[in-house]
Amino acid sequence: MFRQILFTQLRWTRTMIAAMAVLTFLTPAMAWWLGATRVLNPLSPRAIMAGFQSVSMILIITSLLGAFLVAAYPWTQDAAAKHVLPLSLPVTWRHYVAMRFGAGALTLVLPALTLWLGSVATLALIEIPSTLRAYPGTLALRFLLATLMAYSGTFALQYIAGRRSAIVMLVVLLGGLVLGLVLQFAGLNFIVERFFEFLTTSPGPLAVFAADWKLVDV
Amino acid sequence: MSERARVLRRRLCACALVAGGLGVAGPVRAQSDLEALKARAETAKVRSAAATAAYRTASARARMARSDTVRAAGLEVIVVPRLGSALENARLADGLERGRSLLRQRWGSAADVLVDTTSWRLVGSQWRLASLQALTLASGQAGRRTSIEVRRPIDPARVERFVLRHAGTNITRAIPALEGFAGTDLPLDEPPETYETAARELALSWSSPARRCYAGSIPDCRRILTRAHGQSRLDIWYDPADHRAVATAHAGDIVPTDTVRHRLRKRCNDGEDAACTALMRSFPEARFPLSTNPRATFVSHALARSDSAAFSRLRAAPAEGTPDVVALLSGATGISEDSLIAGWRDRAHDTLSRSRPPALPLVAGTAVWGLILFGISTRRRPS
Repeated sequence: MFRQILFTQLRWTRTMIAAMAVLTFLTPAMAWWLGATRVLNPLSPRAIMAGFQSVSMILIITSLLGAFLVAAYPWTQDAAAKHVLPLSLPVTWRHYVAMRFGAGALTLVLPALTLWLGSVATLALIEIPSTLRAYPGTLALRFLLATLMAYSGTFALQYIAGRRSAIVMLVVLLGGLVLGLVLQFAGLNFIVERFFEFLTTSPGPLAVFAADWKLVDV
Repeated sequence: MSERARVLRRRLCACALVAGGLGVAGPVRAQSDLEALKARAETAKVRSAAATAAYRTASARARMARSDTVRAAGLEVIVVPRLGSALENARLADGLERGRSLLRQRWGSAADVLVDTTSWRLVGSQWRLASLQALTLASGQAGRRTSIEVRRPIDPARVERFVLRHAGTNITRAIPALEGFAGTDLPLDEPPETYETAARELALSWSSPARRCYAGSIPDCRRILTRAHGQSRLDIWYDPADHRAVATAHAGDIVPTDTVRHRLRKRCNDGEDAACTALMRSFPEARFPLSTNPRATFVSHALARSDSAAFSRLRAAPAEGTPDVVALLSGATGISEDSLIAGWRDRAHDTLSRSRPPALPLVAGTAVWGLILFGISTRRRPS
């Protein structure tokens, strides 16, 4: 049954996954082309670091947007049929959701793989100075983790809030913003700082987004 | 002229005189009013400033009247009473003791000149609730005041580090020979970030000797730590192959009206090496390959390994005519130049290697959060 669900997941999201894969494959080369070709000494260590600087931003946006679409679209397809298929299957709801979750997560491995391939291909064309090291595997792993984290968040929101997920997300974001401002004005900004620290440092849920996303580093 | 005409003429003259008088008197009176108003405004300003100063003095006195004083190791910290201050004041005193005794342990009483003994302050934020979270500890010395945020409950180790850091800001006063090489703030508390930054600077420098130093070449480290003067300094710090990179990196500093440098820059961009060298040499303060931070870490690394006699010898070194800081530190500490340099380079290199976060906690964290979110998503079943 998992194979069937994976097949439908791939059919529904193939365009998104393919777009993500192409984008991640091209990201290192694009970043290099945008960044380093404008520098007069493109082979100096600083220029190489600067050349790949935009990689992190492009990949974070791709992971957030791609994961959101891959999680939300299959749910909307199921909801359009009022979830008749999953409810009529001889498995529990929890089992069905687990298979749907796993199928989506599995498809997200492909863009991470193409990112690794794209990084290796781009780095093969550049002479890296001896003081620098390339981290294509680490970058691809970070991208995969970030995508899975964003996917899990969107998936949970979609399956809990259903059609109201956009409203719930908006309310949570606005509520957080207002609460943050109130605490700031009350002189309790350390609570906000601590909360962000918890979110963005390991093992917080957003730690992977705040981690180092450098393809080349010392 | 008839009598009537004469009377009429007199009246006209009188009217003209009155009108003229009125016309002149108005502006004159307005001018004097303005002057008076200005004088009153000035007086009010002076009074207001005096009143503000008096208020500030009274308010400071009132605060002082409410404040406690923590004394430890010859230092004095004025603290405002707060919840749990008895315990925290003891921790503060402990930190001060530890910091001061560490300095004395390293360099004996000669290090006393590094510590500002005027009253320090431990103050909270203007927001009372924020003061529950953290306080600010500041040294009292005007001009070189240093401060640090101390999270509550106060950790004596943090206070100890602050005493060292504070001492580091006074190091060039105590050892003038280091002035100009290591900057004014010496990281005597040796935070890992400074060594990490030093390693990064070495690895990313425009200078090939600096990059070879990062890779482990001690003679090249020696080259880039030399404080040379004159035109020859660039030949010491850079290889000829680096000239293009240095020149183009600083080309942004050329002002639009500087046609000579612009011509050199164009020729350099066209591939003429001699023009690149000339352009690089034309920058007046060109260009120590390292900022003061790595150099300061080198000095603090050497000082941390020196004894009290070494500190006294460094204090006695003349400020002028001592361009070679490596030789100076080596002579004072009794450690060979190569060992000193190798120790510093290895430490920077190792600190940078350790600063890279391992991937495993990130993978584990993501897996746990993914499972939690998956668990949440199965909670609601559509009907």
